Amino acid sequence: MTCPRCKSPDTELIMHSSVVGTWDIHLCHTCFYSWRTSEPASVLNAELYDARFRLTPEKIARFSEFPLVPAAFRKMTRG
Amino acid sequence: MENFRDLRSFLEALKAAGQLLTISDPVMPEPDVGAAVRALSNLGEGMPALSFTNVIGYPDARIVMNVHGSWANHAIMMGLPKTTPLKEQFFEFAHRWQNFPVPAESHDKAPFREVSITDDINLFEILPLFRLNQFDGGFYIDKASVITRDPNDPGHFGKQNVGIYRMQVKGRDRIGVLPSAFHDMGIHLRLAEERGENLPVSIAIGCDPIISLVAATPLGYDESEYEMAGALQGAPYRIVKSSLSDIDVPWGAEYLLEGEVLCGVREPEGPFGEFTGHYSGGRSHPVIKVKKVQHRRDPIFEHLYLGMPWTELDYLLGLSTCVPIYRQLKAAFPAEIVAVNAMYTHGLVAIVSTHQRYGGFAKAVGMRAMTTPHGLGYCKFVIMVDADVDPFNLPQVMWAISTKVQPNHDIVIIPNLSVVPLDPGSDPAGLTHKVIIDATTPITPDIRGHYTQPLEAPIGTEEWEKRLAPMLRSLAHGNGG
Repeated sequence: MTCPRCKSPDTELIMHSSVVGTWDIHLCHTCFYSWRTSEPASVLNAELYDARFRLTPEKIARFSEFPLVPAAFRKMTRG
Repeated sequence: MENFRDLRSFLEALKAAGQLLTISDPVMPEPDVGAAVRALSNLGEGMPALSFTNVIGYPDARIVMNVHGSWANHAIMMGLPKTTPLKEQFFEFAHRWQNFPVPAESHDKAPFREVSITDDINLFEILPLFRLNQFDGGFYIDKASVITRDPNDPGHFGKQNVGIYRMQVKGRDRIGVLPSAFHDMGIHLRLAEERGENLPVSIAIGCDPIISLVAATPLGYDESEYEMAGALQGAPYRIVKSSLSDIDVPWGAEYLLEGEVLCGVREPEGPFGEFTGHYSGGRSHPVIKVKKVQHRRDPIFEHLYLGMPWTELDYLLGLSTCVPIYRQLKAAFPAEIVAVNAMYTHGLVAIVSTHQRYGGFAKAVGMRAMTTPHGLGYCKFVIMVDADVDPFNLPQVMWAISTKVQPNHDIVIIPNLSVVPLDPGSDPAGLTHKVIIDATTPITPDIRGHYTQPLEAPIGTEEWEKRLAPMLRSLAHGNGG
């Protein structure tokens, strides 16, 4: 299933309701959006998803880091 | 004074006081639960907690919302009559604060140990998660007590922190968390990351009401939330050890999640509908890997709706924002400060009631409010009122502004100060001008206006208030005579 928010194909069916056939929950591994199949189409269908909240790889790459990883750790990992 | 050892004993007390509404009709996780709680907030004050017992697809779940969502519920939490006026609750909170610290009481066993999961953890299956607002980026845990220790001083009980941070469940055992750099958990995380280490964390969901209140209160870095909870409830607070770390957790929790904040990791999170009435936007936040989950056999999942004020969050943060600012101002000006109402959007607007020493004094107090620890990120508007104006009575505050303020004298704008980046008006995010509105009566040497003939109530008004109050109560109960 394609992510309704960022259209990534890298998604996972993460849960079936214990009441069979009621709904499932899916998760996107790119933007971490999760959705339940019983929700309104406006948050399930990529074509209907509100443009103000859609994500692309470019938008995600511009997300600011909060809080910042300390410079001391970055220096440590660079060796 | 009664104190509540866990969420369920408090729910019983709310039920007995007519402050718990159970929705047993079938409801969808979305949009029903969020919509019902939003609707409740829209309907007025004095609202009950909501308990959902028939959520479609979660046959065993019980979800409770709006537990702190009215001053009536707060009064019951504090062991006061549910009609206790807000200003009285404020002074009671401030009074009990003086008993800090009350040592915590350690226990070996806790009810949440009934069920333990360490293999194949799937938080989506364990917790009845749901989306609150339509464009939230996922399903959140937003009212849990999140507990960490100072990695450079792990044995210091007071530096152990209990806070409420928004958390997005982003995988079977992964949670995104937002600890701001200026919050204690943010400090713990920075210290751990500077050491190149993961930060152990415990997450207690569904706790007694006092610890949620204290977790939302800005305490000093080395002040223990558990010792403050003891002061506020008038009895030692019950704690128990986590099983994977030395972290102390609330004894009465419904669920306990244990894990680590991963060193140096940031991942996309959000947006999330926030207390400003706007979505937060998306950012890259730290990540918790969950290693163990424990819970009661029939756990209650407590959650909180937030959005445009007022919601439960505004009630939860209300007095816990007012009292620290009040105490800090009182420390500087003990003879003058009367009360502080900083309940609006977590204190972006604050109202301070004060006596004056001389002309210009109130403006200086307003600046001091902006330099308190909380004021550094809030107090965008500070409204100063006289000692005889109740800052919790907004009609009185509006009267003071409308009659005491001359804009050319009494509006002070201070440019480019710090503010919480979630303030959607801040530009760049985290920076704003701030304003003092001095609505106190000018006194010498600030001589201006025509304030020498204040109108006082007719003689005997107070006696009539006392006489009428029981008659009005009787009238409300249908005994009008």
